Amino acid sequence: MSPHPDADSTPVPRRPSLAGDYRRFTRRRRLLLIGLAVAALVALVLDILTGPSTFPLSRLLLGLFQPDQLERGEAVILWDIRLPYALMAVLVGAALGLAGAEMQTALNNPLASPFTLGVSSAATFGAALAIVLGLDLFGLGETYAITLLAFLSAGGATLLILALARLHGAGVETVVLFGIALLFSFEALVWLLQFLADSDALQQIVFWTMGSLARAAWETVAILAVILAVTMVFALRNVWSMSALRSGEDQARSLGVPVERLRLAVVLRVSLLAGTAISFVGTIGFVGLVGPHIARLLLGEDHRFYLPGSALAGALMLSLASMLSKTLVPGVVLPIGIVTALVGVPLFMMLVLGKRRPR
Amino acid sequence: MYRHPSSTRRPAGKLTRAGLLGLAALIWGVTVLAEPTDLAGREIDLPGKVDRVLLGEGRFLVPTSILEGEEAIDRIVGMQGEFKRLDPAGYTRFRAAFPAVDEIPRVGRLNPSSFSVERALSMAPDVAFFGLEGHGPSPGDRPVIERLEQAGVTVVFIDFRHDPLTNTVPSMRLMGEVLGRQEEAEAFISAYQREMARVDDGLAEVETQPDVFLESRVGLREECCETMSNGMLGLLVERAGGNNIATDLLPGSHGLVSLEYLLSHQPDIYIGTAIGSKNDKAHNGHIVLGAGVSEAQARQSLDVTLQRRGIREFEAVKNGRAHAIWHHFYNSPFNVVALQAFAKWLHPEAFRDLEPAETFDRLRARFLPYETTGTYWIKQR
Repeated sequence: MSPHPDADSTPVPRRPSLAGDYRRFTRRRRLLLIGLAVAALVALVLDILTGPSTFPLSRLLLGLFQPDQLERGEAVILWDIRLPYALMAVLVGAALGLAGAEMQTALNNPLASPFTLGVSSAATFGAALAIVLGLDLFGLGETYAITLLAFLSAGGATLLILALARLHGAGVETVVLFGIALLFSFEALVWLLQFLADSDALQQIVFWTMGSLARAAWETVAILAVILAVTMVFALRNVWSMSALRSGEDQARSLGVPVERLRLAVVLRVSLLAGTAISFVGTIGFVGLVGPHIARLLLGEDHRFYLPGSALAGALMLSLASMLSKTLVPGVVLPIGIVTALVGVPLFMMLVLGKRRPR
Repeated sequence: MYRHPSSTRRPAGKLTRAGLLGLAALIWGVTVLAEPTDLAGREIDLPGKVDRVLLGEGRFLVPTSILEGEEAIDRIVGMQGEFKRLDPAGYTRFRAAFPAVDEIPRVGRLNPSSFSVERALSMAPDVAFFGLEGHGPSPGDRPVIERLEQAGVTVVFIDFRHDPLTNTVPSMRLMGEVLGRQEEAEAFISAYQREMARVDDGLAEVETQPDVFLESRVGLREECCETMSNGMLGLLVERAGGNNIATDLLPGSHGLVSLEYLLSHQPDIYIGTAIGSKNDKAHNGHIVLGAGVSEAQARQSLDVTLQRRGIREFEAVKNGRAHAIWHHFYNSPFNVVALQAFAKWLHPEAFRDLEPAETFDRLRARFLPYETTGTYWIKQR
């Protein structure tokens, strides 16, 4: 990636300045990161602009700043439908992208994603349990009960992994194997619940599992935004140790990185991010796996850029997917999970093939 | 829907003559040879005796009881278990009249995949009534059908769900024939056709075609808006002189329409289908209709669901043109009653003299051997 020293126009050609290289390295990445942010922002605006009804940009801007000027129907479309859906797409994409990036580093596995440790199947189990039992927590209504149980179940699964890892040491293998064991156990439990459920509940479980942004509301958007901000701060505090971990566990250890504690902290953050996102919108796969790869291809392994880059790549992907899910068959809601893969794969392949091109 | 095998055997060319011959053969085949075709287009070999009957859906007890009357369950040796779970209130009423229904062995639970061929075979049925689609075995479940036929069970496909208004008459006729209840079947069919004709007569003077949005299973999923388009109750909207706005969007029988689309392409009339029943605790966001439900309960549950985000902005809701219908009409021989309710909502002027409630009372009193009073549809306050 870095330019050859010969191409450099430094006044002292015999001593290529390491500091200069480094400055160029960071500047280039900073620019790419800004570019990614701009792309995500553009995608967000486009997402807000698309829908089955025509909403000219001028009306939209007017509505954003002077909601009273809109007609009632327009106001509902803008403030109750388009904005929460579009913001939810960005937030869920960013949360899953960040979670996936951290997971891939912590487990030293390019196939890891927020769902690897059974977070998603645990959340599904929680939701299915709430649906089958018809839980209605403190009169809050079934919706909240489903969300809460999904989240608690995902959190519980993570705590279980952490507890087991404490007993056995948090080696990559231990954590991954526990995670896989949990994944299959929860899947089996969900199937059992589906078998026991009556048809309405069964349908509800299936619907819940197929993610949908249409569940977005302002409260859930706000909660996810706060959680994303907080975990991002904690993640960014660890970027140097994470970058070190990427060059090998032993190497990181020799640099004084507390690898196991780092790994457990990552698991906790990932399950918080993914658990919240899933409990609000259901399972949306793929973003958490491919978002980090896109960021890595663009920005490399330096976690100062890689982590925010993954979040932005995830946000970009899901925003585009959300826009596309509205335009492919106007008027009909396509499950976002289907479209996500359709958007993500070409984007991903383009980058992979671009990298392979001989320079 | 009839597809007689002989029509596929006719040679190409000489179309008209061959077609006429084929038609003649078909009529001859059906009437003279008494070799009826079922709703899946299969030829049926009627067994000599029909003493033991298997139902691929528990809700087929309703058409069965129309034909068999007080002997509704005497010949039933096994059935799918979905009736009690999907329509608990209806099942309770049925059980009140036929307590032994609880003892009928269940051959499966809710889904086609739960149907146990072995259990079905152990009941040694002479005939099995299956639906074209739904909660029991369908024509696609070949292994099930083949095994039953190998064991000498006559499998008969009926349909009240895929294309309800077209298939109810042939289904009832076929069931009547198989069960040896032709008279009862014809009596029901002529009453059914008379009620159907009243809708057609009313539509003759209608010129407008209001846009209708049918929201299916209100409250089942959090996000809006599941609908039925080219199937089930979706077809009733068109037949009642309306324009089902989902028909052009969704080629299949059902799917999801986006809330924004509905807000920007406002339907004139909103109809929600009710999957809630009296015992539904706190309504769960469902609309409550069916046996034992009072009008006040029903209306209150509808009003609550009409206050959902987005839905409350529908012009139809603001104009008092929002309604709810009992969901299980989608799989019932009494679907013509739902059609009349739709017609009256869509064209109140043309159908001012039509009273669907009276129709339902009349049909039930005459054909149904058990009591199912309650509220089956409701108009917004």
